Amino acid sequence: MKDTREFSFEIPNNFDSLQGSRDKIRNFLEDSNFSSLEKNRILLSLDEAITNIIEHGYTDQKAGTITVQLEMNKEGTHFKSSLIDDAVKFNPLMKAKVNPNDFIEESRDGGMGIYNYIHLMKVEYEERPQGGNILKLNYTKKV
Amino acid sequence: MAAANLTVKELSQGNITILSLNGELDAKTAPEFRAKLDALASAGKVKIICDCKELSYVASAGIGVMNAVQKTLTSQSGELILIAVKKEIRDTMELMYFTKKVRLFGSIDEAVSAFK
Repeated sequence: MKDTREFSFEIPNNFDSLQGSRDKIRNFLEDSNFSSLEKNRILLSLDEAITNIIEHGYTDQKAGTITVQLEMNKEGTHFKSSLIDDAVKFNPLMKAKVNPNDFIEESRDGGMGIYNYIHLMKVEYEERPQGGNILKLNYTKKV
Repeated sequence: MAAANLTVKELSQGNITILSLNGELDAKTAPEFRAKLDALASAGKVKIICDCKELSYVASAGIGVMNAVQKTLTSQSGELILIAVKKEIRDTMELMYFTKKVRLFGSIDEAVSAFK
């Protein structure tokens, strides 16, 4: 018997995909030991990362596909995910740090997505040899 | 695959506009919400209560809209106030420090009183 539960799906690179993507992630998180706040933080993180890929990764307007891979240990306490895209190369870990105080004081309307998921998740980045990116967002239940 | 869905119902109570939000506020639905708030501000309706009882999810795009519009409203002696915000959404707002900039209440009556 496997020690992990896995699920994957693909979405096209447009904002119409976001709701369905969240529904699948919610369903996957349902069977876990995370609190409702933790589930929402994981959901928010993946949603922000996918939104960022769709918004900034396909500047040439080409149709693209994002593969979302989800994994959970059998105790439901350790979540792993990979977002695999065929977008332009982009490493969010190399992006300049954002201060939420600036977001508030300057009344900005955006630019907080990467901050949110980097703040909430363990993040790893890999460049795909064939082009595109792999973004890994992992979360372990807080004691 | 279902497209993101947000419905906004509007009603007035004196010079206060109450918007009841139902659904999810994300990168897809945030522009429509922004357009609604901008239209109200342009019409001089600058005291706005958003009833979030049926709002189930907010991404940073949604908070960004409220963050930017709050400045517009306060510059015209108005304000955006939120009521009945779920704890998960409040958690997202706190992550982005937005709770420093918006008042949250439990009910419409409390929010209306806060405008007086």
